[in-house]
Amino acid sequence: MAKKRYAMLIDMRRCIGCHACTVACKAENAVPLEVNATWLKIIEKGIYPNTRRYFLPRMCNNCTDAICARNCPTQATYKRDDGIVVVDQHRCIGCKYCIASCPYDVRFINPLKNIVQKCYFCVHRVDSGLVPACVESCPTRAMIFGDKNDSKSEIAQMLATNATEVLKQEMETDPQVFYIAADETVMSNVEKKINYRAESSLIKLRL
Amino acid sequence: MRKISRRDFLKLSAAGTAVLAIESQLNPLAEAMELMTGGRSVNRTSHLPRSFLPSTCTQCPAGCGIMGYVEESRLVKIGGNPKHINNQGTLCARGQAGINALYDPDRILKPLKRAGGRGKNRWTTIDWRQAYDEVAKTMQQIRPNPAQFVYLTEDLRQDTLGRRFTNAFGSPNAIGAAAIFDANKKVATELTWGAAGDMPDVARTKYALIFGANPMESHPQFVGFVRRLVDGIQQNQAKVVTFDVRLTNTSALAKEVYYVNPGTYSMLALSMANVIMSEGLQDSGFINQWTNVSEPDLAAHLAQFTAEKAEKETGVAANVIRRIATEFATTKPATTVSDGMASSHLNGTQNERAIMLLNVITGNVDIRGGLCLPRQYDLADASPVPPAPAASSLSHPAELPLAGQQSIERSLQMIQDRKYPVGMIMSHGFNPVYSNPDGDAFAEALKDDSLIPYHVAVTPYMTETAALADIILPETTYLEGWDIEAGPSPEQVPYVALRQPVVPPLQDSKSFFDIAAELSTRIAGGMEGYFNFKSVEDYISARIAGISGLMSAGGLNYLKQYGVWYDPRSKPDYGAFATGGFQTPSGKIEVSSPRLEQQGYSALPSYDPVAAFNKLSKDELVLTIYNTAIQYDAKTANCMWLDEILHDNPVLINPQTAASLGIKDGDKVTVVRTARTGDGVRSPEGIGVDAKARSVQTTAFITEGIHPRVVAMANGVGHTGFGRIAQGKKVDKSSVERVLRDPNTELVWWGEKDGTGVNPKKIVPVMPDPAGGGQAWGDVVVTVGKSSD
Repeated sequence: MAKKRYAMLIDMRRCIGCHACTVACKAENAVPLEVNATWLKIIEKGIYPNTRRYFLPRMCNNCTDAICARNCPTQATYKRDDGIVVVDQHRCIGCKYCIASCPYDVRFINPLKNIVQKCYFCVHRVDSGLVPACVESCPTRAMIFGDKNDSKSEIAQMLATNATEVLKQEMETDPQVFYIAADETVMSNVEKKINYRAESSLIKLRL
Repeated sequence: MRKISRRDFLKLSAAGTAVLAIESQLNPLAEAMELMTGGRSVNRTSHLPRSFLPSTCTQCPAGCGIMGYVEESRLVKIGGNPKHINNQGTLCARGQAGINALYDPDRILKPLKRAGGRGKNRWTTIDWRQAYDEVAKTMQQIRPNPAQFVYLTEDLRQDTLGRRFTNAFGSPNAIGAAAIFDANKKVATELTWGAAGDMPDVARTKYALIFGANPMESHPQFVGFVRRLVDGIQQNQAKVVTFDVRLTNTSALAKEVYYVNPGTYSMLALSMANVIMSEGLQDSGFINQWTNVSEPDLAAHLAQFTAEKAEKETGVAANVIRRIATEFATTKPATTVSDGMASSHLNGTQNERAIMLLNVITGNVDIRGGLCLPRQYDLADASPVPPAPAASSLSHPAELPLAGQQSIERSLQMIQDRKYPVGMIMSHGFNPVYSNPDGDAFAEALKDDSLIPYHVAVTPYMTETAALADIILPETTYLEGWDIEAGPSPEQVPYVALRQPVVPPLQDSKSFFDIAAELSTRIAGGMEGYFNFKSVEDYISARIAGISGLMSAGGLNYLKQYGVWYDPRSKPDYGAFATGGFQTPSGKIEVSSPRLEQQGYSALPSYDPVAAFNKLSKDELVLTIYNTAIQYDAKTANCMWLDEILHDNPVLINPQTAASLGIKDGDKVTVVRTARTGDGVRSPEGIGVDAKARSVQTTAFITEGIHPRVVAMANGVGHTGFGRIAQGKKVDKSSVERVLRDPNTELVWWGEKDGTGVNPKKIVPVMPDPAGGGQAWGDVVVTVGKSSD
């Protein structure tokens, strides 16, 4: 049997922009105020009366070619056999090289612990046979998580039968968070330092 | 260290196979994920499973099933209960943030008695014995005139215990607040098909026409409803069309999104009904058999609502009205979705009836995928049931005869205006100073002890209302208390759900059952006989005793283990009215309502324009106060995870409008209610009077996503009480009881950076739809201008 390769698929045809994932992550991973490992980007497009909202749940892409892991001087950031990129809290020296090198702006310094953190697909849950907390919470089942190398898994079947996109394909990092039917505007400009604070559920981000 | 395998999880969940059978009907993929989707939680470092108890959420009225995960007697996480038929293991942001409410650093954990004048915020800690003595003594003093006891609660339909306590005391004056949001819908549906409320069967529909509702952010059954709506869209290819005055999250998944002039939903719906009838697309068989009108009479009445007239009135193009009406009538099954803003107008009752009519004339009533009757168990109160005292002019204001006990905004106004003598108010978990229209006026009343001699607040928090109490009894939060619920089921299969303590009551807090029982014993005089239960569990057992399926499954023990029960063999009993008829006087759907006609309204669904909107001057705009998926009215602003996402409420303005007013994005602006508000309100008595506050200051947020004649502000923020978190203040750990400490409270950042908004309901006058009694939140006329400072 092929090696496990965990991945996330977010179906924007089901996302209602409710922030359940944002709060699920805070609760599950004790993510402090000020910072987020999972969050929701909301934009509005169009000119009245032809307007529409678009959403994009954001988190670490757990890239196959993770630049952060390559650049970490202490190997605190490393990739597991199943593809999940994790940070060993005890080895992290807080140098922020990884933050600077991440093309997706998903890493942050935990203000209470002064170490770097990010989404790691809730490895503690995955290792215990559970899906990540955001996936569990999602009221409309917009998020699917699993082993994409297992052809019987839901994610493998969904990936095989749907057109998907990843953020910033041109970076050639092979992101493992896939989106179905995400709007191209909401997918663009991820390199802009988007302070999640500015993304309160009102649409303060206008592109 | 033992790790749990996938197999163990399957074993653990095997007990609920019947439950899963129903779930998988809805979602064939639910069991396809190779990892468990829910119902368990592990410690992040040890990976050891956390102990848990199922219970029921109250962060909004939806009543989702939750799991409280506990480590060393501290609640560490709230997840969804996979067994619950509503939310099926998922949970929204508010539900998950309930843990913040439990450990709110400013939670009250000991009874408080005021030490200075009312509202001076000086308190002395007292013990429960003294608190009970003082409250019981006052209640005994007014017992000869028991109607002077006024009990104010959040949702009287849920708070059976509060009603029992008030009735046992001998007062008719238990008054609930939930109706300020949906009384018009409740009255309209009750008048029309004999049941209060509706439940669109969105999981199985092919077409959903959404009027003024925004289920993807706010709905009475939020998660349970919206997951089915999305299933309908994705698995059933249902088409969704929305009509609203602003852009909402619901637009994201809608096929077509239309802006509509405020307050014109009935015109829109009636013109569609006219198209359907004049094109001969109606279900004649259904109309003839199940309604109290004849086709020709109805068609003749509807003929006045032409698509052209509707275009002028609503702003929706006549050809769009014709096309959508035709699609709605020819796509089977179809349903409407309407709550929220469709109800919240002076013509809200008519709006709801006009929208219902679309389902009635197309035969989409209580069929699979149509507009269904609400299905829920009737949880009887436990025997002996105290007799209900005769209604009073306060509980049933004469000028709102159809609304009954559902017009709290009017009841509070009568107290303020000294139209009803009050000996004592007990406010239970309800914060009218924040929630009600014109809350400042009620605050003034509460400060006046000649008007309200005694005020007991039963609440865990120092809310704006509790701050004006004489004594505060620290109630447990919903995570430490007991209750039983049977809300309307979005699955169309009724259920019973238990709320049980997932952690023991913190410190000296007590559940409302314990408080009511102890007070009753002390007040005595016959009252104590109604609280003669060994424990709250006995009381709950007595309430479910009539549900035989649940009793044979194990009764309370079953609920304690699984949190929820429904008959696993039960399927939606669509069309059950065919045998017994509708619960209206005629047994039919009363499209023509004699009860409305008696009150001087059009018997047939009709369009009564909101008078003020036709006279707007160039600068006058209509204010809409909207709900989000993040905050729920007065309930959730003490949850820091929610505040971090939504903590302020700038006023949303269309760019054209802003340009004509010289307002730029981010400008400080003043929103001023104008005298036009309430123009032409037909009831002479006290309704439509000015609110105390005339203006609020906020910032401008310019967006294309709003009607040019409408401005909008979010509900749920702008607290001036309710503790430091709700007010965006950093909380020094050392100032907090050990049991409530959380290092995150020192990181609160939004108060300094963005502020915490303002409560727009302050400038909303008490202004119910005179028919349904529901507050017309959407009919406030304002001007918006740059602030001078």
